[in-house]
Amino acid sequence: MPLRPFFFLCFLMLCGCALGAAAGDAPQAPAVPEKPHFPFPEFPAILYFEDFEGGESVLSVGKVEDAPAVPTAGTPVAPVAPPPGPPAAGGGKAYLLGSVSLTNMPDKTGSAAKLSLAQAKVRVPGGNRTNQIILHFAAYAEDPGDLQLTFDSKFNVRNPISATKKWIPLTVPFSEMIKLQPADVISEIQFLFVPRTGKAYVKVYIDDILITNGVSKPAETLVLARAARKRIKDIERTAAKDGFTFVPQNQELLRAAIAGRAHINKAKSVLVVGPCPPNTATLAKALTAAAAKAKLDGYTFTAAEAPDKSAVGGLDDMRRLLKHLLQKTLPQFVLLAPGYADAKCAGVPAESMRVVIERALAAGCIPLVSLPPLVKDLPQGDKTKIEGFVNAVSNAWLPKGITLVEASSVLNNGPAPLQDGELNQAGLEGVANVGVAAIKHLEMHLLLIRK
Amino acid sequence: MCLKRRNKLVAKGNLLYHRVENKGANLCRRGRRDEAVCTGRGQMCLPRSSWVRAVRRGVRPGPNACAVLCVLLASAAGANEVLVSEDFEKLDLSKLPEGWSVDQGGDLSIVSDPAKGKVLRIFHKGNGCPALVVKLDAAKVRGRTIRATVWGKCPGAYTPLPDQKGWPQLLLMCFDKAGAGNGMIGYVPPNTTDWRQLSTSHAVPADAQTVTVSLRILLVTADAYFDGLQVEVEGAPVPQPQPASPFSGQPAAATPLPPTAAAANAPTKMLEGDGIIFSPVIASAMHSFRKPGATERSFAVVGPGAPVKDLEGKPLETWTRVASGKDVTGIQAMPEGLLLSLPVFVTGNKPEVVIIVGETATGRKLSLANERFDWEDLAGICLRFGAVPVLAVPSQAANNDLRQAMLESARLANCPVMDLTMPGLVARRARQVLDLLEKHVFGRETPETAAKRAGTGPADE
Repeated sequence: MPLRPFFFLCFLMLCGCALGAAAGDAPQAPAVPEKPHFPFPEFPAILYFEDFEGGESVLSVGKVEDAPAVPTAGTPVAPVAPPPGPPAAGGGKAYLLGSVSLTNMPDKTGSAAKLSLAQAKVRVPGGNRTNQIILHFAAYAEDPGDLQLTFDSKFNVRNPISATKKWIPLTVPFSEMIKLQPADVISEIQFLFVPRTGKAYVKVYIDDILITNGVSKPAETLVLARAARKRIKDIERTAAKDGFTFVPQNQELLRAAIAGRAHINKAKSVLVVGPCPPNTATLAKALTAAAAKAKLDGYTFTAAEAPDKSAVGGLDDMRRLLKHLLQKTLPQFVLLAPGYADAKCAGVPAESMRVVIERALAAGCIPLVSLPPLVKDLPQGDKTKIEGFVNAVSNAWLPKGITLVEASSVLNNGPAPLQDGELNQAGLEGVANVGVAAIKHLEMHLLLIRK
Repeated sequence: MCLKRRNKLVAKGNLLYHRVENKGANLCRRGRRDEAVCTGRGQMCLPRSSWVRAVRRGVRPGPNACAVLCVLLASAAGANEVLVSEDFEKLDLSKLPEGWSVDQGGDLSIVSDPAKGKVLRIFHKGNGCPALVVKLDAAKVRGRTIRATVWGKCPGAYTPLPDQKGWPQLLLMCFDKAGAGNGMIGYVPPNTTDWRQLSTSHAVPADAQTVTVSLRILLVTADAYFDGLQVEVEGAPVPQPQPASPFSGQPAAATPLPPTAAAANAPTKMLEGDGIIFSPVIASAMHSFRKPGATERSFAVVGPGAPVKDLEGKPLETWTRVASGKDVTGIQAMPEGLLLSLPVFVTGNKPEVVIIVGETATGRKLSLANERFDWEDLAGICLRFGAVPVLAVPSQAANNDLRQAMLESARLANCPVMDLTMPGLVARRARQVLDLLEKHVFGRETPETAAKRAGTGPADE
């Protein structure tokens, strides 16, 4: 008899084990909510801002154009004068809605645009209270009509526009959509303008689209957003214009990637791995000379060297020896310059590059990747392969905040910079000049060392 | 086993074919040509390791493989001429190269595979024959043996139609003037979730007018994937003997073969059956990376699986084992750690051969994206400093994921492999690998051979 409770206990334990095992078979991890995206981390109240000054946007159907000129009261506008400064919407560019046919009104032509919030990584309301989320924008129409906003084909908000040829600020609180729940996520907003009279397409512009959370004074927020956007534009660098890339919004990712070990690395030290072993020392020397010229003080550029004192260079050596070299030299930066031979080789060199960059990041070292410059003298077949490599590396690593040195624009003006299929002295000096400029920029805007 | 039901076994040279009466095609079900394996006398047909075919047959394009290929072509050290090498990474089915074509193109697509990048997918609903066809230059291959290899998998089930050759398959076909064709098939069985290599070879008749290689699904409803198509001409002329290798550190033995020719004469060893992977291609590749300065007949055992009990002590009498410290063995020598310490170890100790042992324990979480790169780079480090790497892979039962990753790495690095399955045989396999390296990579006589030639050694092994 005393055994009965014991068996019952065993039975319960077995049931428990079985349930545990069943749970273990198919782990149901809770869905991790996506991190909210803030275009300006210093202003978390701004969830989205677009002033079209960059020329590109996540809107479709229409196109970015110069904003229409709005005559200032009392000032006559010369017939051939350029558009006078920023109009009421505040910028030189605006988005012109595209022409669409209206199925329910075949006699009229509408003007439309689609804003993809999913593409812009904006999650609204996304857990926020709907009465705190407000969409602000400015609209300009040449004829009166109704501007209808459709959120995810579910919710409609109508804004009549009576004043023509003027920028009109419009505000749409998300609370107007009664059935919208805080947990919902709107993925697309459609703008559709229907002219009140006439059949023809009416030119309608929108500008300064701003989505805020808990902002009471949108006009002030707009000023802040413009200032933040200008700051970003000021420190942003592009390969075409500057020879290297720097995307300020992505630097947080880079900081996070190196955070664990960055503190043990020696400040102002740069490890250099060139396109091929003989070029590594030349590149390091060129960098030292360029640093002196650019007044980048205190930096040491060390040419990578194998344990057997042989020179190191090229993608194969990077893969085999980078981990060892980083541990040995503990540099703050590593300049990785794969060569033309690496970019042209069979297989997937961009995948090898991934392995190398990940190893540098794991060692807490800031990688600067110098991509083989697309100079004029390259044969067409090689050019295609090299372009493929450059695009693959750029697409993979620019969004992660890695600075890419691409000296094509610098070298195109100089003499043919190739020798034995790789960059010659002049070519390496061109890369070094851009590389030093990149380090100087990173020092100020990534490491935040102000002089 | 050989299919005899509707096929007639015919002999042609050293090849045995099954002539399909109703189609007039000569087909060997296993695509084996060397040795009289396919005898049709009921003898046991061992499944050939698909991996070995990759190693044996050649070089998949990769950073190292490319260099190896160049060296091989340059030296013509028994290398086969590669006619087609396609990894599908950049192939656009709408803009195929000259001589390439697709049938029922709607069923073909290029898709991404986690293990192999871009691969060819053929998804067929049956009763047709969607195919990617590559037409070879007949003038180049006439009268010679060509070999086609491809990696294939078919994760789902399908019902094979053996009588009608209904499989997802690699087909090698030759047509004469009259349009009569004969050829060989390698096929992907159902439920093949892991990549396996299909390989088939065929002696192209001297009157062949058209020679094609196809990846296709014939008749059956199946979803098949292919990658790494390679076609090569076998039987390149044997290289002329060259002066003995200058880096051996000792005067060459009386009559050893020069290293390049020795590499070309290397035997092919397979993981299944032999417990090691070795081939002329591997021997040539290893030879091309040799550098002077290594201590002759010295080897080191490193890696997370080291030390290996059977290789401790002095099991390999004529070889000296270099002492391996804690930084290159055991838990500190996981690939990530070994990448830090191996360069110093190899340059400091200068072993001629480095056996890199994978761990048999399954405690470590493998990084699917990086594992094979790590092992390939470890082999690369050895080659960079003039040592020959040998990857010792754990058994399937002990750590299959790591075994597969290491095999893939060895394939890319083109280096020898040793199996740790059945621990009692490990020392013997190590001895066998070292002997093969000594003879076919370093171009030396093994002490046993030298003694035997002098009449003082033991009898045949």
